[in-house]
Amino acid sequence: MNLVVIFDALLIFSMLTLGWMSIFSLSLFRCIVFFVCLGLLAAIAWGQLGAFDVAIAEAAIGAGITGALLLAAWNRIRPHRTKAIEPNLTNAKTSQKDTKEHV
Amino acid sequence: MTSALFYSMAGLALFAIGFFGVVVASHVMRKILALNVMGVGIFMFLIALAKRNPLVVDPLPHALVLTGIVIAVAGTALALNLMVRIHHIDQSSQEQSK
Amino acid sequence: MFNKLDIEYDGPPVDKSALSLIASVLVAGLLLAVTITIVLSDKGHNTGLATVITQNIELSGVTNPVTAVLLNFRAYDTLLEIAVLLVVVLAILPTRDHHTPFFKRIEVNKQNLVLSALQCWIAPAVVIFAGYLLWAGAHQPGGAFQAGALLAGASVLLFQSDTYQINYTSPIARVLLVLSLGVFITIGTALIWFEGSLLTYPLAFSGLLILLIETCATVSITLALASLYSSFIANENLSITDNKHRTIE
Repeated sequence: MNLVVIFDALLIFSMLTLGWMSIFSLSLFRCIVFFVCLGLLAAIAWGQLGAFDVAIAEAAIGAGITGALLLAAWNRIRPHRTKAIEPNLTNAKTSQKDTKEHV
Repeated sequence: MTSALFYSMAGLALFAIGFFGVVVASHVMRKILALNVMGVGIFMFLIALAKRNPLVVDPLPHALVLTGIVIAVAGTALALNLMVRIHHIDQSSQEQSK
Repeated sequence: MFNKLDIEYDGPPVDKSALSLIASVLVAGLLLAVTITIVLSDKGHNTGLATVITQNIELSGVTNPVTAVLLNFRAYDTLLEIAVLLVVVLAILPTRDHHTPFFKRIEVNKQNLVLSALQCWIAPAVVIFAGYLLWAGAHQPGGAFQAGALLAGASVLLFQSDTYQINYTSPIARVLLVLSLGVFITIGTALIWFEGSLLTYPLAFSGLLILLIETCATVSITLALASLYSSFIANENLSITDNKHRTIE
């Protein structure tokens, strides 16, 4: 059992775990972050498989642009998003509530 | 059993996870994420099969996957736009009913 | 199942409908089993089309096999892909506005030091790196899609502050968006006259034509991906003003 096989096994295992977690995590924000991580790990896996063109494209598009799109869309649909803009007085209250909901 | 076969099976498993998520997930955004996970699984399967002979790397699936990544991000953007649009319509109709 | 959209994003992640659960597990398991048996029955002697591509690589005008496949052997795929990207951009373009210029720089009072430093230092470096990727795509990993994606990432960085704004429906932006498709189709159909069939490059000019198409494709892909990102931001500003109008009324 050499090191490359162990590396491959670890990579595949973490990709499968991240794939599951990027759909079934509790909060949507976590899902998006896990999906970006999945994209970066996929770029590593494709470098491992000798597809360097695709690895560059995946790191730039799959992780970068898709993550930005998903976060922008999430920002549009999340509840209480107007409260975050308001000044600090109410912010203390809402932030505590937000952390309860997000985590 | 080569590592490429190992990777291709991982791609299939990712596809299965994504398919399961598309059917089962409750929120539309989770469904979109699951579709993307399915896409990652398919790309992984194709790229792993391009290397099933350990000596030769077949560049044709690489080109197909490169095309597919761009199409996938375009489809994701369209789906997210529709989701945001539906959400706003939903919210304004709820405000009106109040 | 599809006719409702939960507004609460923090609801339970799984629908509690047992039937769809069982069905999806069955279908996914069946797919998995069938394809795994197919994959395992493969002996690994098959090289696919790799030998054909390496034999004909001199005819393509580039030495990177992926670029050769994308822009010469299967250029039709790339043409249709650019068309699909353009259709998506048309579907989600923000509001129509002919009068504001293509690129606008607004002085904002509150400056985020880290963000402006990133914009000043990272964005030009990304532009240079994208140019290198585009140029290197002929003989190394790289090419139009990677360069376009990098440039789009730089534009996402620029959009993080309100300083820079791009109007995607101004005449210049329209020309740039359809530039690659137009150039691609023009070259492809013009080659019918000279070579006899669609998208068959003449041997002497193939490298040059591929570079020309790739440069146009980079510009169009950059603008398209940037418009995909800023469609969310633009709609947001629009809906906020809508809400203001609604409260005033």
